[in-house]
Amino acid sequence: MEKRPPDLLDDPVVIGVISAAHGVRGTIKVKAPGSGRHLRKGAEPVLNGERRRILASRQTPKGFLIDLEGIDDRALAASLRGSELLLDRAELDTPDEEEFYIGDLIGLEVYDEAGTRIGSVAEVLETPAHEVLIVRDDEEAEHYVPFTFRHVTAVVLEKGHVVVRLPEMDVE
Amino acid sequence: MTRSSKKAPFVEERLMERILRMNENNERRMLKTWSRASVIYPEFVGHTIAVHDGRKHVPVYCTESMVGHKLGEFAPTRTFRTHIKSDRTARRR
Repeated sequence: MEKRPPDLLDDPVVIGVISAAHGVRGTIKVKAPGSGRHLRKGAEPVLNGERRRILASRQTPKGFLIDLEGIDDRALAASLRGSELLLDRAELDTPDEEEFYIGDLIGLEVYDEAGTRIGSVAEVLETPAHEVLIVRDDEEAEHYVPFTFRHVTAVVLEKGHVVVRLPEMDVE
Repeated sequence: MTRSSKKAPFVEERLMERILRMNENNERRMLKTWSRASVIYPEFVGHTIAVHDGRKHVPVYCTESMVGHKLGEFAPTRTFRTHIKSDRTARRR
């Protein structure tokens, strides 16, 4: 995997990974780790330390087909397999209301409604029902909190914390 | 072959009993279950059920749109973990 260019981006975020060349004119097939909303015409992601404008983009069931500025033959496109398309965190779109970038949630401090610190968000698990915050406490124990209004009462990114209502277990 | 229509959709008896008991007492506590094949009944709505995925219990908050589906559908048994920082988003529902 290519080394990320730390001098170009303060907080690099992967918006796509090149999986293959497509056709003979330098089109590349890109797998998006997220929704692919930033893989659009006009965006200028960093590829191997260089800004390259997206000239055309279309979504297919197997990923995105993208034409990048300066890449116009198959051999060059094929040599880019495995490379990442990066943007800076500040360049990403503002998410919708009640939508958060998973990268922003990871590391947030977690408190209960009484203000007691529980731990911090270690991972976010995606399930078909809803996302689940995996909260790791100081003893390395994991707590699973559904990312719903009922269980996560507040997300304060500015202060770097979330307030949760840990589900009470029914013991029988 | 489909399940006979004279039978109601399958649900583990003990799980249903516990849900009904909590509904009677107007309680909301998380239940642990290994029964991934149990169908979500309307009585489950508003409850959080920790469904076993083979390794751990994944909390599933039941909503109306999940009625008729099986619990196992909401607790994937295979998880792809990546450490790259990407533009994936999570929505609070």
